Amino acid sequence: MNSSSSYHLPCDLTSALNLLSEHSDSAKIVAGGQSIMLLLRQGFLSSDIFIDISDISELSEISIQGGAIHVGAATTYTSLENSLEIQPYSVLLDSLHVIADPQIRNLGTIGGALGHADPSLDIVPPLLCLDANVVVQSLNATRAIPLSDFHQEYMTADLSKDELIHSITFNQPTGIHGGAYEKVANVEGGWPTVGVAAQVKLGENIDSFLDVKIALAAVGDTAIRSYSVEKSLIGSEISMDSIRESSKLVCNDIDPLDDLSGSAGYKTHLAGVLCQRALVKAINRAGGSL
Amino acid sequence: MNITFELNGKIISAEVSPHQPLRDILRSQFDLTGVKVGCHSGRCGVCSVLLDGKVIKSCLLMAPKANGRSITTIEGLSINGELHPVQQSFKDNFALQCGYCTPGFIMATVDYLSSSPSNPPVRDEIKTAIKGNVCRCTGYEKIISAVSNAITSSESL
Repeated sequence: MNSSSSYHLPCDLTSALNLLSEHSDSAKIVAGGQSIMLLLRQGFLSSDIFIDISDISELSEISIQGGAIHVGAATTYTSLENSLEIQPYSVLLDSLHVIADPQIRNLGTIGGALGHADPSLDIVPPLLCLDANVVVQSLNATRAIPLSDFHQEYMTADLSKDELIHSITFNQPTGIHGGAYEKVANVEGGWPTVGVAAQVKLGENIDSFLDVKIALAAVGDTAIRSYSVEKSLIGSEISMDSIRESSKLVCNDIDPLDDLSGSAGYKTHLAGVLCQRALVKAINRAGGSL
Repeated sequence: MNITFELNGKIISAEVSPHQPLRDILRSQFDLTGVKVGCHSGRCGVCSVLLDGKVIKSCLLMAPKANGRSITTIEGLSINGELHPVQQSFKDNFALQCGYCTPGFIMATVDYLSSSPSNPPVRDEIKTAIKGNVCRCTGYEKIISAVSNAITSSESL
């Protein structure tokens, strides 16, 4: 069975990039490897050359530089959840707490998730709300791509064959802010039927929205921002009525499918309800009241 | 490829392919059949083992990833025939029916106990800690009691 397959465990980034450059036509980057294991078992992936980046220490680092936080691609969900640097980001913490289960979080990585580009990943909407950038690297170049552009279509990331994800970066929110992620799944720890992240920045009297970001999982080919909801709230006064009315506008930005987890109509309704809940929680966390 | 790793306290070597999950190696090459086979997709948790002390699902671990690491299965928990305190707690609390899911639940509990759980135990926290494991006999109440008692008695150790 696959006698020609090879598995590399480089200890430094340069070795990994060299290997990738040499085998760019057939190599697969492995971080936690859980999604790859499933794809191999199901016959969707036929790669024989694997480059495992989990022994490269610089890819598992979390650091703060100049007001921006940098998370190495091979950082596991568990390390991220436990890191002091992440504790102020409630929108991200909420999602980390509801990703699958302890076993999956101990192996699963943030870079692996972003490279996999599944539209149902819980980690993506919070990162969209934080305006995250994905730093990708090849032997010759480094690029920083806004996450909103990185996921181009269904399970397709803007990643060339000789590039790997190095890290994810985002700025620390300023001013009076709060965030939350709300999800409904068929089973505890399951993939979201719909997931909604909200990040708000409030005016100094804590009664109006200076900025709002809404992003959703599992409602289209990629995770997506809801600019309709955002536009209708930015600049307005905080009220339950405006949140309720604006949340309905989420239907303008999403395109869910009928599947086993629910009909498109149900998911559209659910997206509106979860949008309201995420906004209310985000406002409360920012110190606002309703 | 040949890998070397620590398995239940012993350094061993094994011939593995990246296409094989560690679970298959543990069962077929080392007869560690306490590592069970269930859903093949990371949902049921019966194949849970410890990787460097952290619980993972061995059906989702590409076998070469074990290289240079430490793996503990249910067979590696007891010392000189004496049950591990978590095993003893499952026994004392009748926390098994058919027993198929038990090794996975125990491995998840061992990891949970090493992560400073709330003491006195918090029911919701326990449920979150074991949510990656499924008991098809639905014997969750006794499992939660076993985990809870394991936490309380670990205090007195």
